[in-house]
Parts: sequence; structure tokens; C-alpha cells
Amino acid sequence: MTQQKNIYHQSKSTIKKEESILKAATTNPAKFAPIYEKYYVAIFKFVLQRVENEQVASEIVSDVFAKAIFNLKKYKFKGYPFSAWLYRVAYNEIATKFRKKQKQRTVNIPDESWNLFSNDEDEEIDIAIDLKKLKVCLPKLKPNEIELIEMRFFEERPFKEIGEILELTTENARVKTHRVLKKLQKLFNTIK
Amino acid sequence: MNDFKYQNKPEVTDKVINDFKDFGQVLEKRNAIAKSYTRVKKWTISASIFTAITFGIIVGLNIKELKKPVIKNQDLITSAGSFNPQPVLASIKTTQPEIKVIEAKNKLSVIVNQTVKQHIKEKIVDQKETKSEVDVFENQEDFSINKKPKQESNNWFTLSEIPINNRPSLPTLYISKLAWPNSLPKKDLVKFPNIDAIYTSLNRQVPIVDGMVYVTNALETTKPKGFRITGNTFPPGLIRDIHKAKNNSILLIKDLILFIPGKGRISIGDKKIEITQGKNQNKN
Repeated sequence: MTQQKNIYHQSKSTIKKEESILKAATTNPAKFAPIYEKYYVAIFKFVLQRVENEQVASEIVSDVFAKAIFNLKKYKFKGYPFSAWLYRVAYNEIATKFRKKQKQRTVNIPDESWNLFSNDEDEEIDIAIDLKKLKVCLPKLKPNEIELIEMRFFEERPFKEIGEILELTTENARVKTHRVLKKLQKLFNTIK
Repeated sequence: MNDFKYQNKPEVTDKVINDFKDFGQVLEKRNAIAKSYTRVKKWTISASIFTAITFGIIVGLNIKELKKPVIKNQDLITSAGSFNPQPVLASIKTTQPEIKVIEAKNKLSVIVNQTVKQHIKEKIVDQKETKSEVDVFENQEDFSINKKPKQESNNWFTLSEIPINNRPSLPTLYISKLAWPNSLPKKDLVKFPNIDAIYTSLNRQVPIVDGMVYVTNALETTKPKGFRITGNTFPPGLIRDIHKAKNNSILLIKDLILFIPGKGRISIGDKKIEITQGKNQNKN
């Protein structure tokens, strides 16, 4: 989890360097190797969080990178790290895979989930959580609401990154997550 | 509600993840995607080229068809159909050159010897033959014009007025400054001996190319003297005849032909106008 944070928060010089590598990779795909090395683990974890096992994840990850290299011409540098774009490609690829194969999407609930909820800045939302309750409540949320919970609490992503992956503004991502938490709180209260 | 599968999986170490790392496989997949796209591109390009060629051929054929000359004037069709220049041409070919040859023979026999004679003879025959052919084609128009009065003589008294419903496509016919008149006072006809065809909505006059006008009466059985109209004013002889007109006289305009731009020579049919002695006028 800490690694994802490090990848997203990069210095301007690192991001610029990344940009020059990407420019070279548009004409020669082999030059994409350093980017692949840099983001492979992060993207793998992102995919693994949403699929059943490592084999399926590795297959999707290689597809994600292949598509990213192929569509590199479409990528426009906006000053953000390249990972944001890669996460979006991965997000769309997972959705496509599940739609094509009509398989169930998986949500991995980490053991320390309940701690994440209580650590939230918003004091109003104080959910006495336990794993069993969470497993009962999560299926009652909409798929896009689950995404927000997953990214914010299970993967510890900043709102800025969530916004970039889901194509929302940072503030919109924050507001939406807050609403989902309130909804989850209500659901928790109904369960005895 | 969602139908996601929820599980509590143990965290996978970076070492395990790195075991799946294979950049070569990624490049292979990328090349496969690129290949499939180029195949689709090729198909699209060839299909669009084929479509463009087919479209071009169709458009080209249509343009060719449009460029073919179309005879619009029915009069021309009938005159061309009824006249066959071949027999006339044949008869002229067989008779005329012989006469000319004999004439030339008489003129030249004294001056030149036999060979020169022969040479000149041949030359003259050729010239006359070509000339006679040209004459026939030149006379073709005269022939058709000469033929018209023949047809008129058979049914000159039968009217073929164009019905009112068919008139809007035609220009308005003004006779003595009155549109489509049924009757006109003699005084007006003499004072304004004009015949005009005008598209009033466009304010554009259409030239009158041909037509015959007769002054007669309803009981008349013999064909009176006609006057050809090729302009907008009545010929003097017609004005004189109108002057002489008595009660129950009619002005009969036969087969009036206009030249309408874009349509060509169009016949607007016949028109019968009663010549009244007083000031009464009736408009259609």
C-alpha cells in the first residue's frame, strides 16, 4: 500500500524524465521497458485486488501494458504521473474482461479494513465495523460505490488519484466517497 | 445492489508478483493488436477505394446519359420523323450529275483534248455530287416548312386549344395587351396589333418564333389567306384584314411556337378570338 503512495507522489523532474521515455516509446515500443519495470507491481496489485487469483491478474496486466503501448500516441501529458493513465487503462480493461467473460468481479477485503474506516478524517462517521458486517453491507452498495470504498479504504489512494482514475474532479471524488460512507453507516445501523 | 464476489485474500508479496513479469509477452501482445488493426485498416481502405470507384462509375454513366442530346420540341420530332431524305438524295444523285456532265461536255469539247476532257469531267462530277448532297441537306429545313401548310390545309379549321389547367407552365399570351382574350374589339386589334408571350411572375418576355394567323368566320369552309407571325407585331396585311372584318369574324391563331429558354421551341397551340365591332371584351 505504501508503494502506491510513493509512485503517485513523484517529483517534477521524475515526471519530466518519464515523459521523455514515453516520447521515445511511441516510435520504439522496446523503450517502454523502464516504465513497465516501474509500474508493474502497482498495476498488478490494482488488478489483483479485483480478480480472483494471480494468474488471471498477470494475464490482464500484460494486456493493460500492451494496450498502453499501442495507444501511447493518444496519451497527453498533463503534468500527472503516467500511473494515473495506466490505472485508468487497467480499470477499463478489467471492466471489459468481466463483461466479455460474464464472470463475477471480486472484491478483496483486507483484514485491517475496520481500522481504515475509523481513521477517516470525518468524525461524524464513526463506524464500529467488523468483517462479517462489512461482507453483509457491501453487496447492498452499487458497483461504482464499491469502487470508491475499495480505492479509498482498501487501497489507501488519495482523492486526487481516485478522481484521475474514475475521471472525476478531486472534490467530486471526496464528496461521493463521503456519501457512500454515510450510506454504509446507515446499513450498519440496520444490522444487529 | 451488486453481485460481486467478496473474499479475504492474503497479501501477495512483490517477489511473487515479479515472477509474472514478462515484457517480451507484452510486446508480442502489442504487435498482435497492431497487426489486427492494420488488417482492419487495409480492409477499410480497400473497401472505401472500391466504393469510390463504383460511385465514380455510376456518376460517370449518369453524366454521359445526361449529356446525350434530347429533342424536346415535338414539332421537330414529327417533321424529322415524317421526312426521309434518302429517296430524294438517291434521285438527285442519279439524275442531276448526268445533266451537269453533259453541259460541261458541250462547253469543253472544242478546247481540250480527250484526256483533259475526261479529267475535267470526273472533277465536275465529283463537285456536283457533293454539291447536290449539300443542297439536299440544306433544303431539308425548307422541306419541313413547306410541309406544314399541307397539314394545316387538311385540318386548319379544327382547334386544339390548350386547356386552362395546362397553361400555368406556359407564359401568358397577351393579344392587344389583353391576356388570353376570347374576344377583342376590332378597334383595339388595329390600335395595338401586338402579340406577346410574357412570364409575368418573372417579368420576362419570350420570343414568338412562328405561327399562322387567319381572319375568318365560323361558317367559312375554304381556307383564307394566312399570315405568318415571326415577331410581336401583326403583319400589315393582317391588320388590313382585321380592318375589313365583319360581324362574326374571328381571329384564328394557329400553332403558335415560342422559344422558351431552357425548353426550346414549344408550341402553345391554337387560339380563337372573336372580333367584335363594339368595345366589349371577354377575358378567359
